[in-house]
Amino acid sequence: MDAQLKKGILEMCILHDLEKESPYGYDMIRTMHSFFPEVTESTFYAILRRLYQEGDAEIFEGRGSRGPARKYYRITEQGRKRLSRLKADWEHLKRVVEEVMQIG
Amino acid sequence: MKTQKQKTGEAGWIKNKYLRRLGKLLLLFFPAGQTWEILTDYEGYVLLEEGQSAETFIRRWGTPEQVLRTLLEENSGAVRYFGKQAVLWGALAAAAFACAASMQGGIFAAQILLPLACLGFLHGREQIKVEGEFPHKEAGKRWAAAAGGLMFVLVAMTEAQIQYLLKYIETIPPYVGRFHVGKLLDRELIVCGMLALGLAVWMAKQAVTASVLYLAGAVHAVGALLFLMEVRSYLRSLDISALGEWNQVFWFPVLYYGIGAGVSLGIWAFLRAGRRTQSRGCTA
Repeated sequence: MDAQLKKGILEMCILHDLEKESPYGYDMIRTMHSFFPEVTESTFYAILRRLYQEGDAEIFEGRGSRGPARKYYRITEQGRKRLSRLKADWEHLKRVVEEVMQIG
Repeated sequence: MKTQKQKTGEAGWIKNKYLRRLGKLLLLFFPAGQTWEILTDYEGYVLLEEGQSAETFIRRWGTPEQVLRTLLEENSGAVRYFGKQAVLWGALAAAAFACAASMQGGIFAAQILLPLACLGFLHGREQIKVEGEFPHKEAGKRWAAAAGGLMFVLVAMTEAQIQYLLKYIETIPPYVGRFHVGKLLDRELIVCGMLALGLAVWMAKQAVTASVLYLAGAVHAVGALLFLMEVRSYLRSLDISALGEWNQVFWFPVLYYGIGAGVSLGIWAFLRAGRRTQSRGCTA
Protein backbone atom coordinates (compact mmCIF):
# COMPACT_ATOMS: atom_id res chain seq x y z
CA MET A 1 0.00 0.00 0.00
CA ASP A 2 1.16 3.53 -0.74
CA ALA A 3 2.97 4.94 2.31
CA GLN A 4 1.08 8.25 2.34
CA LEU A 5 -2.29 6.57 1.98
CA LYS A 6 -1.43 4.11 4.70
CA LYS A 7 -0.27 6.92 6.99
CA GLY A 8 -3.58 8.71 6.57
CA ILE A 9 -5.50 5.53 7.30
CA LEU A 10 -3.43 4.79 10.40
CA GLU A 11 -3.94 8.32 11.64
CA MET A 12 -7.71 7.96 11.20
CA CYS A 13 -7.72 4.61 13.02
CA ILE A 14 -5.73 6.02 15.94
CA LEU A 15 -8.02 9.05 16.24
CA HIS A 16 -11.03 6.76 16.05
CA ASP A 17 -9.62 4.64 18.87
CA LEU A 18 -8.94 7.75 20.95
CA GLU A 19 -12.49 8.93 20.38
CA LYS A 20 -13.95 5.64 21.60
CA GLU A 21 -11.89 5.44 24.77
CA SER A 22 -8.89 7.08 26.47
CA PRO A 23 -6.34 4.32 26.22
CA TYR A 24 -3.00 3.83 27.86
CA GLY A 25 -0.45 4.59 25.12
CA TYR A 26 1.12 1.16 25.15
CA ASP A 27 -2.23 -0.66 24.99
CA MET A 28 -3.37 1.47 22.08
CA ILE A 29 -0.16 0.78 20.17
CA ARG A 30 -0.53 -2.97 20.80
CA THR A 31 -4.13 -2.94 19.61
CA MET A 32 -3.23 -1.09 16.42
CA HIS A 33 -0.32 -3.44 15.80
CA SER A 34 -2.66 -6.43 16.04
CA PHE A 35 -4.72 -4.93 13.15
CA PHE A 36 -1.68 -3.87 11.11
CA PRO A 37 1.05 -6.43 11.99
CA GLU A 38 3.27 -5.31 9.11
CA VAL A 39 3.58 -1.84 10.64
CA THR A 40 6.12 -1.50 13.47
CA GLU A 41 4.83 -0.36 16.81
CA SER A 42 7.19 2.60 16.65
CA THR A 43 5.22 3.90 13.67
CA PHE A 44 2.06 4.07 15.80
CA TYR A 45 4.03 5.72 18.58
CA ALA A 46 5.38 8.34 16.16
CA ILE A 47 1.89 9.09 14.79
CA LEU A 48 0.42 9.29 18.29
CA ARG A 49 3.19 11.65 19.31
CA ARG A 50 2.58 13.87 16.28
CA LEU A 51 -1.16 13.97 16.98
CA TYR A 52 -0.35 15.08 20.52
CA GLN A 53 2.12 17.73 19.32
CA GLU A 54 -0.36 19.06 16.78
CA GLY A 55 -3.07 19.33 19.43
CA ASP A 56 -5.35 16.55 18.13
CA ALA A 57 -4.74 14.45 21.23
CA GLU A 58 -3.89 15.24 24.82
CA ILE A 59 -2.14 13.35 27.55
CA PHE A 60 -3.25 12.82 31.09
CA GLU A 61 -1.54 10.87 33.78
CA GLY A 62 -3.12 7.89 35.41
CA ARG A 63 -1.88 5.31 37.82
CA GLY A 64 -2.22 1.57 37.38
CA SER A 65 -2.58 -0.87 40.26
CA ARG A 66 1.18 -0.71 40.70
CA GLY A 67 4.20 0.91 39.13
CA PRO A 68 4.86 4.47 37.99
CA ALA A 69 2.33 6.95 36.59
CA ARG A 70 1.21 6.11 33.06
CA LYS A 71 0.41 8.28 30.07
CA TYR A 72 -3.15 8.03 28.80
CA TYR A 73 -4.32 9.71 25.63
CA ARG A 74 -7.64 11.30 24.75
CA ILE A 75 -8.90 13.10 21.69
CA THR A 76 -9.34 16.89 21.73
CA GLU A 77 -12.02 18.97 20.02
CA GLN A 78 -9.55 19.76 17.25
CA GLY A 79 -8.85 16.03 16.93
CA ARG A 80 -12.57 15.28 16.60
CA LYS A 81 -12.84 17.76 13.72
CA ARG A 82 -9.84 16.22 12.05
CA LEU A 83 -11.28 12.74 12.48
CA SER A 84 -14.57 13.81 10.87
CA ARG A 85 -12.63 15.25 7.92
CA LEU A 86 -10.55 12.10 7.58
CA LYS A 87 -13.65 9.91 7.76
CA ALA A 88 -15.40 12.02 5.13
CA ASP A 89 -12.34 11.80 2.86
CA TRP A 90 -12.23 8.06 3.41
CA GLU A 91 -15.91 7.58 2.60
CA HIS A 92 -15.50 9.69 -0.53
CA LEU A 93 -12.45 7.74 -1.64
CA LYS A 94 -14.20 4.42 -0.96
CA ARG A 95 -17.23 5.51 -2.99
CA VAL A 96 -15.12 6.69 -5.92
CA VAL A 97 -13.04 3.50 -5.95
CA GLU A 98 -16.18 1.34 -5.83
CA GLU A 99 -17.66 3.28 -8.76
CA VAL A 100 -14.46 2.87 -10.76
CA MET A 101 -14.44 -0.85 -10.02
CA GLN A 102 -18.05 -1.23 -11.12
CA ILE A 103 -17.32 0.50 -14.44
CA GLY A 104 -14.23 -1.71 -14.92
CA MET B 1 32.81 -16.26 30.35
CA LYS B 2 29.39 -14.65 30.48
CA THR B 3 28.47 -12.12 27.86
CA GLN B 4 26.97 -8.72 28.71
CA LYS B 5 23.63 -10.05 27.47
CA GLN B 6 23.71 -13.03 29.84
CA LYS B 7 24.86 -10.97 32.84
CA THR B 8 22.11 -8.37 32.72
CA GLY B 9 19.32 -10.59 31.40
CA GLU B 10 17.55 -10.12 28.09
CA ALA B 11 15.44 -7.14 29.23
CA GLY B 12 18.47 -5.46 30.82
CA TRP B 13 20.42 -5.96 27.65
CA ILE B 14 17.68 -4.37 25.54
CA LYS B 15 17.17 -1.58 27.99
CA ASN B 16 20.78 -0.58 28.24
CA LYS B 17 22.02 -1.13 24.73
CA TYR B 18 18.86 -0.26 22.82
CA LEU B 19 17.85 2.82 24.80
CA ARG B 20 21.39 4.14 24.97
CA ARG B 21 21.74 3.93 21.19
CA LEU B 22 18.30 5.44 20.71
CA GLY B 23 19.08 8.29 23.11
CA LYS B 24 22.32 9.12 21.33
CA LEU B 25 20.58 9.23 17.96
CA LEU B 26 17.64 11.28 19.24
CA LEU B 27 19.89 13.93 20.77
CA LEU B 28 21.12 14.86 17.31
CA PHE B 29 17.61 15.66 16.09
CA PHE B 30 15.52 16.56 19.13
CA PRO B 31 16.01 19.01 22.00
CA ALA B 32 16.98 17.37 25.29
CA GLY B 33 13.46 17.63 26.78
CA GLN B 34 11.84 15.80 23.87
CA THR B 35 14.62 13.20 23.79
CA TRP B 36 14.03 12.34 27.43
CA GLU B 37 10.29 12.23 26.88
CA ILE B 38 10.67 9.69 24.05
CA LEU B 39 13.29 7.70 25.96
CA THR B 40 11.05 7.52 29.03
CA ASP B 41 8.21 6.24 26.85
CA TYR B 42 10.43 3.61 25.25
CA GLU B 43 11.85 2.59 28.61
CA GLY B 44 8.29 1.93 29.72
CA TYR B 45 7.64 -0.16 26.60
CA VAL B 46 10.84 -2.17 27.14
CA LEU B 47 9.84 -2.92 30.72
CA LEU B 48 6.34 -3.93 29.63
CA GLU B 49 7.86 -6.25 27.03
CA GLU B 50 9.93 -8.02 29.69
CA GLY B 51 10.36 -11.67 28.84
CA GLN B 52 10.54 -10.98 25.09
CA SER B 53 13.81 -11.73 23.33
CA ALA B 54 15.85 -8.82 21.98
CA GLU B 55 15.16 -10.06 18.44
CA THR B 56 11.37 -10.10 18.98
CA PHE B 57 11.42 -6.64 20.51
CA ILE B 58 13.44 -5.24 17.62
CA ARG B 59 11.23 -6.97 15.04
CA ARG B 60 8.13 -5.38 16.54
CA TRP B 61 9.45 -1.97 17.53
CA GLY B 62 12.27 -1.59 15.00
CA THR B 63 15.97 -0.88 15.55
CA PRO B 64 16.93 2.46 17.16
CA GLU B 65 17.80 3.72 13.67
CA GLN B 66 14.36 2.72 12.35
CA VAL B 67 12.67 4.35 15.34
CA LEU B 68 14.55 7.56 14.64
CA ARG B 69 13.61 7.43 10.94
CA THR B 70 9.94 6.91 11.83
CA LEU B 71 9.98 9.80 14.29
CA LEU B 72 11.66 12.04 11.71
CA GLU B 73 9.03 11.18 9.12
CA GLU B 74 6.36 12.36 11.55
CA ASN B 75 8.21 15.43 12.77
CA SER B 76 9.56 17.87 10.20
CA GLY B 77 10.73 20.19 13.00
CA ALA B 78 13.39 17.65 13.97
CA VAL B 79 15.26 18.02 10.69
CA ARG B 80 15.11 21.82 11.03
CA TYR B 81 16.49 21.49 14.57
CA PHE B 82 19.34 19.32 13.28
CA GLY B 83 20.03 21.88 10.54
CA LYS B 84 20.16 24.77 13.04
CA GLN B 85 22.53 22.85 15.29
CA ALA B 86 24.73 21.92 12.34
CA VAL B 87 24.92 25.56 11.22
CA LEU B 88 25.61 26.87 14.73
CA TRP B 89 28.34 24.41 15.67
CA GLY B 90 29.59 24.21 12.09
CA ALA B 91 30.20 27.98 12.21
CA LEU B 92 32.31 27.52 15.34
CA ALA B 93 34.22 24.69 13.66
CA ALA B 94 34.76 26.90 10.59
CA ALA B 95 36.05 29.69 12.86
CA ALA B 96 38.46 27.18 14.38
CA PHE B 97 39.81 26.21 10.95
CA ALA B 98 40.01 29.88 9.93
CA CYS B 99 42.05 30.64 13.06
CA ALA B 100 44.38 27.73 12.34
CA ALA B 101 44.90 28.86 8.74
CA SER B 102 45.24 32.61 9.15
CA MET B 103 46.72 33.52 12.52
CA GLN B 104 50.09 32.90 14.05
CA GLY B 105 49.40 30.57 16.93
CA GLY B 106 45.91 30.10 15.52
CA ILE B 107 46.25 26.34 15.90
CA PHE B 108 46.16 26.85 19.65
CA ALA B 109 42.80 28.64 19.32
CA ALA B 110 41.59 25.87 17.00
CA GLN B 111 42.61 23.27 19.56
CA ILE B 112 40.10 24.85 21.94
CA LEU B 113 37.33 25.91 19.52
CA LEU B 114 37.05 22.69 17.51
CA PRO B 115 36.49 20.39 20.52
CA LEU B 116 33.93 22.89 21.80
CA ALA B 117 32.10 22.71 18.47
CA CYS B 118 32.14 18.89 18.58
CA LEU B 119 30.97 18.87 22.19
CA GLY B 120 28.13 21.24 21.35
CA PHE B 121 27.05 19.37 18.22
CA LEU B 122 27.02 16.03 20.03
CA HIS B 123 25.18 17.58 23.03
CA GLY B 124 27.90 16.21 25.27
CA ARG B 125 26.31 17.01 28.60
CA GLU B 126 23.02 15.36 27.62
CA GLN B 127 24.78 12.41 26.00
CA ILE B 128 26.58 11.67 29.22
CA LYS B 129 23.27 11.72 31.08
CA VAL B 130 21.90 9.14 28.63
CA GLU B 131 25.03 7.04 29.12
CA GLY B 132 24.70 7.31 32.90
CA GLU B 133 21.03 6.36 32.77
CA PHE B 134 21.64 3.36 30.52
CA PRO B 135 25.12 2.10 31.38
CA HIS B 136 26.60 -0.38 28.97
CA LYS B 137 30.01 -1.85 29.65
CA GLU B 138 32.48 -1.51 26.81
CA ALA B 139 35.89 -3.05 26.51
CA GLY B 140 36.95 -0.07 24.39
CA LYS B 141 37.29 2.21 27.40
CA ARG B 142 40.31 0.28 28.69
CA TRP B 143 41.91 0.58 25.27
CA ALA B 144 41.19 4.30 25.27
CA ALA B 145 42.85 4.74 28.66
CA ALA B 146 45.83 2.71 27.47
CA ALA B 147 46.00 4.78 24.29
CA GLY B 148 45.99 8.00 26.36
CA GLY B 149 48.90 6.68 28.41
CA LEU B 150 50.69 5.63 25.24
CA MET B 151 50.29 9.14 23.78
CA PHE B 152 51.82 10.65 26.91
CA VAL B 153 54.77 8.22 26.84
CA LEU B 154 55.27 8.84 23.12
CA VAL B 155 55.38 12.62 23.56
CA ALA B 156 57.67 12.43 26.62
CA MET B 157 60.05 10.03 24.86
CA THR B 158 60.16 12.10 21.68
CA GLU B 159 60.85 15.30 23.59
CA ALA B 160 63.56 13.61 25.68
CA GLN B 161 65.08 12.18 22.50
CA ILE B 162 65.13 15.61 20.80
CA GLN B 163 66.63 17.35 23.83
CA TYR B 164 69.30 14.66 24.06
CA LEU B 165 70.02 14.96 20.37
CA LEU B 166 70.45 18.73 20.57
CA LYS B 167 72.64 18.53 23.65
CA TYR B 168 75.00 15.90 22.26
CA ILE B 169 74.64 16.58 18.55
CA GLU B 170 78.40 16.96 18.02
CA THR B 171 79.18 13.59 19.52
CA ILE B 172 76.39 11.62 17.86
CA PRO B 173 77.61 9.76 14.78
CA PRO B 174 75.66 10.56 11.58
CA TYR B 175 75.09 6.85 10.91
CA VAL B 176 74.04 3.96 13.11
CA GLY B 177 75.16 0.95 11.10
CA ARG B 178 73.97 1.80 7.58
CA PHE B 179 71.08 3.97 8.76
CA HIS B 180 71.27 7.77 8.76
CA VAL B 181 70.30 9.06 12.23
CA GLY B 182 68.32 12.01 10.87
CA LYS B 183 66.30 9.84 8.48
CA LEU B 184 65.76 7.25 11.20
CA LEU B 185 64.36 9.93 13.49
CA ASP B 186 62.18 11.26 10.68
CA ARG B 187 60.72 7.79 10.05
CA GLU B 188 60.15 7.35 13.77
CA LEU B 189 58.20 10.62 13.89
CA ILE B 190 56.13 9.60 10.86
CA VAL B 191 55.24 6.24 12.43
CA CYS B 192 54.35 7.90 15.76
CA GLY B 193 52.32 10.52 13.90
CA MET B 194 50.38 7.84 12.00
CA LEU B 195 49.70 6.08 15.29
CA ALA B 196 48.41 9.31 16.87
CA LEU B 197 46.27 10.03 13.79
CA GLY B 198 44.82 6.51 13.85
CA LEU B 199 43.98 6.81 17.52
CA ALA B 200 42.41 10.25 17.03
CA VAL B 201 40.17 8.91 14.22
CA TRP B 202 39.21 5.80 16.21
CA MET B 203 38.38 7.82 19.30
CA ALA B 204 36.40 10.40 17.30
CA LYS B 205 34.36 7.53 15.82
CA GLN B 206 33.87 6.03 19.27
CA ALA B 207 32.77 9.45 20.60
CA VAL B 208 29.88 9.39 18.12
CA THR B 209 28.95 5.71 18.35
CA ALA B 210 29.92 4.52 21.84
CA SER B 211 30.54 7.20 24.47
CA VAL B 212 31.03 10.94 24.22
CA LEU B 213 33.86 10.58 26.76
CA TYR B 214 36.04 9.35 23.89
CA LEU B 215 36.04 12.93 22.62
CA ALA B 216 38.52 13.75 25.38
CA GLY B 217 40.77 10.96 24.09
CA ALA B 218 40.47 12.21 20.53
CA VAL B 219 41.49 15.74 21.55
CA HIS B 220 44.43 14.32 23.48
CA ALA B 221 45.56 12.27 20.48
CA VAL B 222 45.25 15.31 18.18
CA GLY B 223 47.43 17.28 20.64
CA ALA B 224 50.05 14.52 20.42
CA LEU B 225 49.77 14.47 16.62
CA LEU B 226 50.31 18.25 16.38
CA PHE B 227 53.31 17.96 18.68
CA LEU B 228 54.86 15.26 16.50
CA MET B 229 54.18 17.19 13.29
CA GLU B 230 55.71 20.33 14.75
CA VAL B 231 58.81 18.48 15.97
CA ARG B 232 59.26 16.94 12.53
CA SER B 233 58.84 20.32 10.88
CA TYR B 234 61.51 21.84 13.18
CA LEU B 235 63.88 18.96 12.61
CA ARG B 236 63.58 19.27 8.86
CA SER B 237 64.55 22.94 8.99
CA LEU B 238 67.22 22.49 11.66
CA ASP B 239 70.16 24.87 11.36
CA ILE B 240 73.12 23.37 13.19
CA SER B 241 74.87 26.77 13.43
CA ALA B 242 72.07 28.21 15.55
CA LEU B 243 71.73 25.34 17.96
CA GLY B 244 71.57 27.60 21.01
CA GLU B 245 68.30 29.09 19.79
CA TRP B 246 66.91 25.76 18.65
CA ASN B 247 67.51 24.33 22.06
CA GLN B 248 64.93 26.70 23.48
CA VAL B 249 62.63 26.59 20.49
CA PHE B 250 62.32 22.83 20.81
CA TRP B 251 60.20 23.21 23.90
CA PHE B 252 57.64 25.06 21.79
CA PRO B 253 55.93 21.95 20.27
CA VAL B 254 55.22 20.72 23.79
CA LEU B 255 52.69 23.56 23.98
CA TYR B 256 50.56 21.81 21.33
CA TYR B 257 50.49 18.68 23.40
CA GLY B 258 49.96 20.64 26.61
CA ILE B 259 46.92 22.45 25.22
CA GLY B 260 45.56 19.20 23.78
CA ALA B 261 46.00 17.40 27.10
CA GLY B 262 44.56 20.35 29.04
CA VAL B 263 41.46 20.66 26.84
CA SER B 264 41.07 16.88 26.95
CA LEU B 265 41.16 16.92 30.76
CA GLY B 266 38.71 19.84 30.79
CA ILE B 267 36.25 17.96 28.54
CA TRP B 268 36.58 14.82 30.63
CA ALA B 269 35.93 16.72 33.89
CA PHE B 270 33.01 18.65 32.35
CA LEU B 271 31.38 15.47 31.09
CA ARG B 272 31.95 13.48 34.27
CA ALA B 273 30.38 16.26 36.30
CA GLY B 274 27.24 15.99 34.18
CA ARG B 275 26.87 12.27 34.73
CA ARG B 276 23.97 12.29 37.12
CA THR B 277 20.71 10.45 37.25
CA GLN B 278 17.84 12.00 35.34
CA SER B 279 14.57 12.32 37.19
CA ARG B 280 11.88 10.30 35.45
CA GLY B 281 8.41 11.32 34.44
CA CYS B 282 5.44 9.08 33.82
CA THR B 283 5.83 6.17 31.46
CA ALA B 284 4.67 5.37 27.94
